[in-house]
Amino acid sequence: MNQNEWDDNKIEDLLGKVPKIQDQRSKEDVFKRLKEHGLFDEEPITNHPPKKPLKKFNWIPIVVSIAAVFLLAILVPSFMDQIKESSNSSEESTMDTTQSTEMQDMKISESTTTDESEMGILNTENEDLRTAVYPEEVEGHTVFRLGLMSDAADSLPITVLIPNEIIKRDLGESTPSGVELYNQYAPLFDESAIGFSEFHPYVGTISEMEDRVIHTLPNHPPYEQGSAALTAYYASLIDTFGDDSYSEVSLLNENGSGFEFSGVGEISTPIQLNNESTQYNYFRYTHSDGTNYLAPNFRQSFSSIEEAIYAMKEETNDIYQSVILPNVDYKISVENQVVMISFTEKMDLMRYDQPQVMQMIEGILLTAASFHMPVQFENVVQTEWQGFDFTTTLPIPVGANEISYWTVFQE
Amino acid sequence: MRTGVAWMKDESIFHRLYDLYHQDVFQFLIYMVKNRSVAEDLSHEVYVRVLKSYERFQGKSSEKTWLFAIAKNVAIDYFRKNAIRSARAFDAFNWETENLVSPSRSPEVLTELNDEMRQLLEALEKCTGDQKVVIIMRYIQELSIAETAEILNWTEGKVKTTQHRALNKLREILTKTNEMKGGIAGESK
Repeated sequence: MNQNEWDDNKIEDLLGKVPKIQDQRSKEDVFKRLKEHGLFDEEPITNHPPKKPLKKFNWIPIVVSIAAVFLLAILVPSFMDQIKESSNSSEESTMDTTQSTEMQDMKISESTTTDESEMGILNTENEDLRTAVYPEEVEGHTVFRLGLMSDAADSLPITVLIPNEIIKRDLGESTPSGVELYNQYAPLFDESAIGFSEFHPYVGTISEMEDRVIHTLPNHPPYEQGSAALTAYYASLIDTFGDDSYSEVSLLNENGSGFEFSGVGEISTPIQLNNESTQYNYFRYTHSDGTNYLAPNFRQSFSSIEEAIYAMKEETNDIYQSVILPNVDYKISVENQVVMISFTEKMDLMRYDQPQVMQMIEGILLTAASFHMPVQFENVVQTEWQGFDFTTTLPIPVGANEISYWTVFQE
Repeated sequence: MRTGVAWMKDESIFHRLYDLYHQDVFQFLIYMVKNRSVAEDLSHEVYVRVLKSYERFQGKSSEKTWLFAIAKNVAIDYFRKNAIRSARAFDAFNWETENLVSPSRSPEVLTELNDEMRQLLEALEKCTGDQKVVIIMRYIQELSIAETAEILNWTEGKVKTTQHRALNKLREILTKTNEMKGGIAGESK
């Protein structure tokens, strides 16, 4: 054989003649599989309650909370002084209820204006201890996610529900994409209002193409100062853009080619937003101001939900603490795409510190949500607690760590 | 949250995309991964991603290039998942410089090819990922340079350069294969 036989013409000619390969399945088969996947279901999320007809309904608790906090901020100091003067014993009983003030006040805006002892008075049984966002709360709002930079040099996922009236005012009638939302609201987001350091908006520009987010970076961005900074930056991209609508974030330099971080030595590869590497389990992170949040454990990922939930008991560092209550054991199984958590011993939720119970329940719900799965608990004494109906499958949370719009956006 | 109407719309979107592009996308996937059942799985994944993000498709690119861009991402994800690497989530997998070699056997049609065609397709597996993708898009899918550039989010210049390098690489590999064969044949005489 003569080596001249393989010239460009011949190669091009042969490439044009490669056999056509067809999918042998019928259109119905392809469609059926998608249908089984639940793609054409009318209600993709199971068991969330019927939507509330009045859009403004959700405003009421927020407004009431804000009013209550302001009122307390004004009244309580003098009230407390009076108590101190009149009776020491009654003060003690008030202080008992302040042990669990950490997490619960996140859904209440302006919490920074009051101190711990004041918040203790708000801590009644009727208070909403939930910290994540659930499907029924989304009505009338647009979900905005961000990965904030925590003191532990890791990204912390937070969720803000922006009222649709505000979206309409700022962005017009259209349903904005995640990138459009980011470009509008990240520059206005005030990290310092909740005690975080300034991180957003990212340097450079954020744009999108098909199912990709594109981050065009200038030379020497701050994210390359050490490998921890780079890992945290990647994690923040996942927390910020990692809902179902994007598959990856491409990092480009200003010429449009792949970005090369100094010290890494190779061109960066796109950050995957929705695959096995983003299946996390959730732990408690305590911020320097004492507020508790739920967060992945330094981005440790799991291939199976069982593994992820069992591993929630194991603390692997000093930053992220287990939310599983001491001496609580459970079995995990997956039935019809629902994660079944069966407590080994009858679980009486009222026997424990209430915010801690909530952290355990929500930690498990968020872990399952990372696998796109809902959870059903078995062997719980209470049939209903804090808005959760334990007789059935609980809804998949929409996002972790809800922060009030009014706290972090200056109007 | 999506309404019943939105989901019904998804059904009609599926039917239209299927009628227009299904076999093209399937062929692209099967030449990428060289395995029929993997290509079936990946084409399913393409529809899942397309239907989930269709609301955001605003006609900035053509529907065809948008669909192929998602198909390409799905295929690269498949190779990334199969790459034998440490468990660190952010370890690099650069599809443009890696070989995208499917670990499985070729589909039946490709095993019955004549020698030259088989050698050519084997040589394609030895090219880098960017070269393989460009060759499949340009020659097997018969996409234009502009379409390929849009799908890969590259400049047209980069598509042309990569195509040129890919042809050089193929010629180099095939020539070497020939020389080796010639050498062995010569020695045995």
